[in-house]
Amino acid sequence: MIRSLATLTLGAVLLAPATMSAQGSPLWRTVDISRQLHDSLPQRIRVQYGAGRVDVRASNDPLLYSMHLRYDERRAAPLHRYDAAARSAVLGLETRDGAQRFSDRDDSGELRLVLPASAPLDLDLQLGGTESRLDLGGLTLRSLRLECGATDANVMFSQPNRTRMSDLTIDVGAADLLALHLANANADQIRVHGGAGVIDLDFSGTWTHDLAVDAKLAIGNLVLRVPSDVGVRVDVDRLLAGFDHEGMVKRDGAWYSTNYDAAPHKLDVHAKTFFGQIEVHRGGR
Amino acid sequence: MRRLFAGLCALGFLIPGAAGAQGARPDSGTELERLRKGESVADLPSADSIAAGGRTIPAGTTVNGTVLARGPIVVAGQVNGSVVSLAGDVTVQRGGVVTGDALSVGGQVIAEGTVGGEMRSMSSLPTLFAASAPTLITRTPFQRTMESAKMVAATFGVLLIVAIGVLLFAGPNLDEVVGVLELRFARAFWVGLLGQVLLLPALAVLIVALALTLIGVLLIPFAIVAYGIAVAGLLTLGFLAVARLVGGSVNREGDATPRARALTALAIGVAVFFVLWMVAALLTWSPLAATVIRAAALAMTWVAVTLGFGAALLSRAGTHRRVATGARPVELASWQTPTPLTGVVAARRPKVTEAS
Repeated sequence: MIRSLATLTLGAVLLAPATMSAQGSPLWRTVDISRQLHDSLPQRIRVQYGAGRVDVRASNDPLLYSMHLRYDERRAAPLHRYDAAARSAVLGLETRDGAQRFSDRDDSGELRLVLPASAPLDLDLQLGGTESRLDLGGLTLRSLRLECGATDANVMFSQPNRTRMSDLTIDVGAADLLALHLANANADQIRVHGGAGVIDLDFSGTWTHDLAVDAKLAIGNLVLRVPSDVGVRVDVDRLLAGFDHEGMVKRDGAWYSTNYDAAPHKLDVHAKTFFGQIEVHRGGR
Repeated sequence: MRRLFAGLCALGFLIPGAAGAQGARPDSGTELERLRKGESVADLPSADSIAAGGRTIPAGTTVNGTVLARGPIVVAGQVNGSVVSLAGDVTVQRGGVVTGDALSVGGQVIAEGTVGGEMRSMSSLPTLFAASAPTLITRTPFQRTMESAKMVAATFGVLLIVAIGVLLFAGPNLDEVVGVLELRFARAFWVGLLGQVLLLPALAVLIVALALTLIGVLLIPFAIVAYGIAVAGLLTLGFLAVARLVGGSVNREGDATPRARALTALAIGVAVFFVLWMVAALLTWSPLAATVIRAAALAMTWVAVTLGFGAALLSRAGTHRRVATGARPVELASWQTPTPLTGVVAARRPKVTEAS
């Protein structure tokens, strides 16, 4: 009798996942979506992704985009629209009407996006509660806008951007942002605006021209890592924040590195924070 | 024999579950529906014309319309439409052309030729959850802003309804908590702060105390729920008391009845606390500004809740009348005057208690 009960129990246990599946547990689906690149005219790509892991990198494959998605079908649907006339693509994942926005199971979701190295791009990334690893090095970015919610974002330019970027804007909510090799972005100006968290900006890489940075952080730490051969000028606007200015001298209301006048390239930073700490480190990470 | 029977029963339960988990092959009509609605594939052939195995479009041939098969599809010629394999790879050979999309379910799309549309490889066809396809939403910044504003407005409305309820059914308690706030402002804040810190330890002590007695163990779930309700009640009562105090200081004039004055003060006070939240909601399109304003609103609300919680604790949810009234050294002068100023006769002189 006991064995019979045990057998029945085993049957019930094995049956449970199938029953749960019918009642609303995640329904995982994977899909790979890509589109061939037929010319090298500029394209605009917007990526929307709510929660999960995000990985973006460049490739020499002749594809306008190649997107791998793993998502819960009950809550979301792939987003892949392309307007050939406007040369504009919208990619990512969109929440189904009435579905819960965020939950623990979002952690298992994934977006892997590969973008073409050769096509000039205006890239707009809108990420929610994600863990982002974005290696944008080697792309041909004309402009980049990165908007993050509660994100652990790691942005890197492992190789120089292939064209001059007119504008690089990063807006983060409550997030930890680490941006590496920003000199490789080849940007005229970089704007970083943050709500709360740690913003760590590393300006190593290949310097081709002077760079202006506007960094605003409401609450938290703003860390600027500048190579020692680059002259740096920091104009600090702070309310209840500390400023670590070791090795810098004050002149005309701003802080200058000692090599500023003689340096081949210059970094002009306007840093504003309400509460927290601003640090300038020489020599990079 | 019994074991055999039980085993068969278990197997009987298992088989449908396993079949469900693996996904029984749906009929062609369902598959076509999922393709049409889930993958937006148009111009689909009829269900009975789906090729059972694979299909090849030889070089030099042209097919107009969607090519659909249950096996692998090889395109060496031209397809003026989409190509869909329900169980296999889609290969577009060098020189082959597909003007529409190339889809593979359970396989891969290999494109050496030209694909005008998208290439999609998927683990399964998309599931259709309802009779009507789910509405997919892409929220613009304006829509997000409006949603946030609506959320704040709804919360404000709910709190206002709660406030009216408290005023109607627990008006004296609210008066008492307001009285404590007026007279013991700083103490109320520190008591509120201490109360917040001790919330969880107090619950833990309660649970341990109940667990020490055998019968008490059964009461633990009820005690936790009751504790939660009590704390929520105190927080709400306290916050509303602070709101009424703030609203009363904003709106001092008026010759309305005391209850009408209290209601007006309460509404104004709650609105004052919601103004910052609404500003933050209206700035949703600008994450930085919204975060800063939201932080300010959170800080202001927290201070109000802490103050109110402390006052509610000090007045024991407004039931301990002597806390506020006992400290009022007023009105006593009126009956000490030889000629009563307010017409209080000696027989009705209030008794002076120790607390006063």
